[in-house]
Formats: sequence, C-alpha cells, structure tokens
Amino acid sequence: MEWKDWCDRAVGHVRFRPDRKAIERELTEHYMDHRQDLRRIGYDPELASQRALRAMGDPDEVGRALDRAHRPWLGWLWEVSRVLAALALAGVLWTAVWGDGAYTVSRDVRSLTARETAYETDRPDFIAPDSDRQFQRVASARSGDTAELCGYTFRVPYGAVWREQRDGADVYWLSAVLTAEHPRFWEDWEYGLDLTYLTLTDSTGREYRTYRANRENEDARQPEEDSPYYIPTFSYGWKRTGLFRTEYSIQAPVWSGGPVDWAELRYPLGEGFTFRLEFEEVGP
Amino acid sequence: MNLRNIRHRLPRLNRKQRVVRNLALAALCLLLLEWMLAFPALSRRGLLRRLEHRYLLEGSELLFTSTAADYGFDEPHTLYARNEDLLLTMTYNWTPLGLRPWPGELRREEDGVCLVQQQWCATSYMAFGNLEDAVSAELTVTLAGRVNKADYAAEDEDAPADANGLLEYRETYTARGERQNPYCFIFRLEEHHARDGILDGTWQSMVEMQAFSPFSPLLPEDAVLRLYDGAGQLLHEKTVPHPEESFRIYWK
Repeated sequence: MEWKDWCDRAVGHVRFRPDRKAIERELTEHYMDHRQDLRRIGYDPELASQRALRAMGDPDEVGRALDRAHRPWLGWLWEVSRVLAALALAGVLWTAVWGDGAYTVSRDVRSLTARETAYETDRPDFIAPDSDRQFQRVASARSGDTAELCGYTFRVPYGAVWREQRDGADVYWLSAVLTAEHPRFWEDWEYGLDLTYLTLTDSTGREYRTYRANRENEDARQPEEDSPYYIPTFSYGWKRTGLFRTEYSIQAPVWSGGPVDWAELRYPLGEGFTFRLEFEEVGP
Repeated sequence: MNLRNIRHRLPRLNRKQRVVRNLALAALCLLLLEWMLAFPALSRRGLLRRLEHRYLLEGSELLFTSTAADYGFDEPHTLYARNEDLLLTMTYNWTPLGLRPWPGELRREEDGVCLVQQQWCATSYMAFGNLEDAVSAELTVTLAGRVNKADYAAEDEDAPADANGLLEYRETYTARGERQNPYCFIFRLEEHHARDGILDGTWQSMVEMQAFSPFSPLLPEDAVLRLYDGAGQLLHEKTVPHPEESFRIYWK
C-alpha cells in the first residue's frame, strides 16, 4: 500500500469534511518525519517508506479514532461560533465608527457615574456650585406614597422650599425630586419617560406646567406674568442614578407671598398619579 | 512584541474551549451592539409598548405605519397609534437587531383626528386618527405670506407693495384626500396659477411656484378638514387655525 492510499483511507473515516485537509497534512508530516529519521540511520528510501508506513498502523483503526476526535457537531458548532463572533465584532466596530453607538455608550456611562447620595445639601440643584447667590432652605417635605404605572414605581422622596434674597426682597423656590424605578432598563435607556404633561400645583392655587407643555399651548405663549394667558412654568431635569432608577428634579419659582404650605405633582394622562407634599418649616 | 509572540503566549485551547470562547465573545458583542442601538424592539407591537410606557399609557391601538425611506432620513418610518383622545406617533428605523426607536410624540385631539403639514412643505398634509367612518375627505387651506417685491415683481409697478416693499400673497386651495388606509388621508395641493394659466408670468404665479418647492415662503392658515360619508353627507368638520408642521412624521 502506498502512503497516499493509506492516508486517503484513514481520512475517509472522518465525517467532518472541513477538517480532512488539516488531518491529512498532520499525518503526512508525521509519516515524513519518521521516514527521514530512518533514512538518517541508514535505511534505503524504499525500506524507510515501508517501515514508516507500517508504523502508522491500521488506516481504518486510525481513521475511526480520528473521526471520534473530530466529531461533526462540534466541528460545525465551532465554524458557526467563528462566523457569529466575527459578525458580532464587525457589527460593534461598524456601529461604533459609522453609527452613533460610541456616543450612546459613553453618554450612558457618564450618566450612570453621575450618581449622588443626598439631595440639595446646601443649595438648590438648579444653582451652579460656583454661584454667589445665597439660599436658605425654609421648609421640607417628603411623600410616603408610591404610584405604580406601566411597570414603573414612582416616589417623591424629597421636596423643599428655598428662600433667596433678591434686590432686598425674599423670593422663594420650590424644588422636588420624583424617582422612577423600572425593571425594563432597556426601554428607559435612550428615550425614556416623557413627563412633559406633569403639572405642579401649590397651596396658593397656582398651577405650573412644564416649559414644553406651555410651548405647545398657544394661549400660554405670553411671557408676561400679568397676562391673562400666563401659565407659570416649572423646569425638570433627569439623571439616571442606576440601571433601574431615574431621578427627575423639579424646580418652580414662587415669586412672592412667602413659602407655600403644600404642593401637588400630578400626571394627568392614562391612570395618572398625584403626589402631595406637605411642607414643614425647618430651623435656620 | 509582535502578534505571533502574543499568540504563542496565549493558552492553547481545544475545540470545545474555542467554541465557548467564540460564543461568549459573540454574546458580549451582541449585548454591546444592542446597547449602542438603544435596545431595538423586535416588532412594531414592541415599539408601541415602548411608546405607551413613555407616556404611562395602556391599551393603545396600533393604527398603521408609514415610510419615506426614499428621502434618505435617518429614521424614515413612522408608527401611528391611538389611545382614546390621544394620538401617538413614533419614528423608527430598521437595524440588523430590530426596530430602533426615536423620540415619540403625543397629541391630544378631542375628535381624535390630527392634521399635520409635512416638514418644509406647505403643500402636503396628512390627516390621521379616527377616520374609519369617512369615505372621502377634503381639505381647504389658505397659503399666505409676505414676500419682497424686489424678488418677485421688480419691474411690475402695479404690484401692490406696502410701505416696506412687501407684497402680500393669499390664496385658498382645496384638495381631495387620497386614502392611504382606514385611518389616514393625504392631501396634496395643486398649483392654481399654473393650472389655470390665467396669471402666467405674474408675481403671484412666481410666489406660488416657490411655495410648491421646499422651503416655501408661505405659511398655511385656516385649514378646514371635511369628512364625508358614502352618500356625500358631511360627517365631521375640523378647523385648524395653524396646521402643525411635523418634524417627526414622514410620508411619501
């Protein structure tokens, strides 16, 4: 039997065809090494080939052993896993370079690392840390209620009234924090909750709307406070404080007339929710 | 240190271990890709659920979707839904992992019908919402605006310009609705002056020509949408003083 016939017979047992070439190459290298060694110690070429071939053993037995080592399901799984990994890697690179994926990830990481442990320790959140403006917290509140809507759990863990001296007179600011906890973090990832239609009412009867809701309402496009169409505006910002939690900070100006006794946050769409904050004075 | 050296330093893995490594790498990359694409939804229903959750609503009805993919927008498809008197829209685009959502919009209309003007185009309108009962629809809208006389009628001394050299254009157009599906009509205005041929070469025809191209100098006002039943009886009439120009609704 010639080497080529031996090799074909052994490799023919391997059912996972993509591996056959590599196996053939490895067997040939093994056979050639042995043959070279025999030549080196003085065998003539033909005898060296015969001895080396005999040493390779029974081609059917070797072939069956090779087939067991190169099982088709594992071979195909390996091929599929290579293609999958290459495609997924290419997708990531493509999205990072040509899509806005890199921006999305870096923004999300930034927002996740921006977590804080306490609310407004010495000044309202909406005031820049290097501002000279002087504020004093005169009242605070928290609502123990929770509201569950569409899988979100809402709470209002913090509310405060701040006093500021402006041109010799006291003006007041109301601030509150609304938190939303949600199991479906992926839904809240890029374009999460839209609280445009949230309203804030205080004990003076004044109802505030968000800037965007007012902008959509033509009657409220009057900037002057004494206009009959004027609707007070509050602002809100949000930050993600965990994978499953988002915090909305709310600020409303209470221009004059002293601090308010209570405030209500109301979301009017669908089942909606209402949180009432009863303010209690705090000492200086 | 070259790549070959690094490769030799790595532990040699057998085929099973390489399968596990590749699958783990693929899973990690897919997760990263999902994140980069803002976790695309797998179906339009999934998009609608996400839109509902955005506004804390439940029980919305998916009406239809439209596309303007030929225009080359980043997010060329729009989904329309309703929830009682609220109309919801959301634009999205297709990605290999599903439908990537973009910001949604919510409109509150007492009659459940919304009329919007196409972005930058004062001559194309869409009505959508509670339109199942209507067999035909008609839109009347006035295009109005002031233009510089120097641009349109420099040599026409009779053109009635005001003290600031501005000409006032005002023309009312009527268009029949093209039914797209039970919940949607599209209206395309037709040029009056070009069609009638009576004002060819006048400043009005030039302004109108400009109005029918993108970035119209005219704005729509006093739009009246009329819905009719099969017998031609008026079912509903809706007046919209200033039709909203939609930046997030696309149609062809």
